[in-house]
Amino acid sequence: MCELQKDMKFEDAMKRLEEIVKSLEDGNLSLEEAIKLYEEGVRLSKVCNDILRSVEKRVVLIEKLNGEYIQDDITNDIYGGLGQKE
Amino acid sequence: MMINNIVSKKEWSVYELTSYLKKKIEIDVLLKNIYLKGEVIRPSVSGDHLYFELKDLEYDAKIKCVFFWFDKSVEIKHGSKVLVKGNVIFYEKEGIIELKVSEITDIGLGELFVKLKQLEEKLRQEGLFDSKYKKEIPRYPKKVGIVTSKNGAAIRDILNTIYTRFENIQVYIYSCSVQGQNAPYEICEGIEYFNTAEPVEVIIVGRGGGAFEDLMAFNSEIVVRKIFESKIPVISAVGHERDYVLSDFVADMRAITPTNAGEMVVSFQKQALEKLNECHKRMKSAMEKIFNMIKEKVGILQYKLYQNSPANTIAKRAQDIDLYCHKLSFAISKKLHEAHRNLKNFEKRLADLNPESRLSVARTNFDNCSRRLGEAFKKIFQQKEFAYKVNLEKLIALNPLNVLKRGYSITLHNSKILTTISQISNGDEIVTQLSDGIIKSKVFFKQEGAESDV
Repeated sequence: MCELQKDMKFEDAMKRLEEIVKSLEDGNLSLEEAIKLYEEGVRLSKVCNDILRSVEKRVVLIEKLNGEYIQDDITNDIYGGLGQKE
Repeated sequence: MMINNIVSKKEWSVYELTSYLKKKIEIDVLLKNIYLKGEVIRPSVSGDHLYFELKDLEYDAKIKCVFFWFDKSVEIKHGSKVLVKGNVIFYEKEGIIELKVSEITDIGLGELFVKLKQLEEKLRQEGLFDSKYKKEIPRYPKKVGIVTSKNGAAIRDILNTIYTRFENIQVYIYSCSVQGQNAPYEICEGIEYFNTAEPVEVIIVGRGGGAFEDLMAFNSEIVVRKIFESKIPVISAVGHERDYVLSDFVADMRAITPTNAGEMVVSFQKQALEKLNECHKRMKSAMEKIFNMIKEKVGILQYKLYQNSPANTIAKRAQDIDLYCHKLSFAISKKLHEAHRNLKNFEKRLADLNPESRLSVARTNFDNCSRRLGEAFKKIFQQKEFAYKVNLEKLIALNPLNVLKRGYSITLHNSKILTTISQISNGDEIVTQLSDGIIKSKVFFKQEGAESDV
């Protein structure tokens, strides 16, 4: 999984989105151009949003017991088994 | 006295106990002016006073120390090996024993500290801390691995920080001991686990604050080397900002606290999310602005179109006509009004010039004049009459006939009045006029001189 590239793509998308916002705010556009840009912006913001929201919250606790790694999904009860005692 | 009371009781109050302990300690001469050797742990200065713990150099034992108005010229560092002199005192309110320090002597750095310094130097020489080996921390990680104790405060801090800022992230916690003998090995296992069994995008290795020796696992050589070998970027998050451990030097990024490490993995995502929302809002409002501008333009064009439409032109003309009609009628009525006023003026002037009135004036004048004439005439007449009467009176008075009445007479000759005798001769006829008639006579004698005796 090439995360860095995904990051780059994401950052590029954000940069492009900011450019679009600026051009729209400059207001020296024909209506057609503005609509086109706006559509691109909406698309980009959806893409970025999808990237940012691509995973759901998940908290997994891993413990080594008798030489085995046990994974326990504690998403809905984060503090049930955490940080209870120093 | 009090002790006797206590002995007879089964139950003590806390205060009784702490007071008792205070007395016991204060009367013990062995606890006065003692010398202690140890390692300074977490010194902190508050005002003019120095607080620290003194750790035994061999065994796991510590005592709290306070040095009131301490000598600031002696620099006391964490890990310093020192000799202190002081009295043991007991605080009955807190129930704690402290050494009230009166003297402190630095007897060199703690052994531990020296070893650590040597290790640090060695690893630095090897290049383990070189920035060229530092990997970039991903800005938008979706899966984060944490190597820490599930029972520590650090994991709570990290999770709180992450999930209060950004929800869409997965956290894998590898629970291990973070202090004690096994800690370094377990930490290494955790790092290994995330490098092999459960790949993540970034690993946070750390624990909460603690005493110097509590953090030692993160100073261990194997942990430092394991972090160095990790293919996945590592954030070191040990203790507080002032706590420096070797894992901080080798890690790709040092977080000053576990909370700070949590911020590092979500701050970009949080910002990106905020930026996205902001961009969305700004795009929408910019579009609205553009639409409004175009709407305004269309409105202006529509207005112009309407302005120039035949219907509007006709309406305008009609309006003009109305206006002119209005002006015209106004002008006419003004003229009429003026003419009317002039007429009135002339009528008045004509009336003023009416001959009848002049006649009556003339008549009045004439009457006046004739009255004045009559009066003047009458006056003159009266004057004349008066003068005449006066003259008449005078005349009457002067009438010669009246003289005749008094006996005088007039003698005439040839109708000439005789005033001298020389005018006549004897024999001439003369007429004598008396008052009541005439006498005709003949002269027979004349004599000069006045009186005669005739």
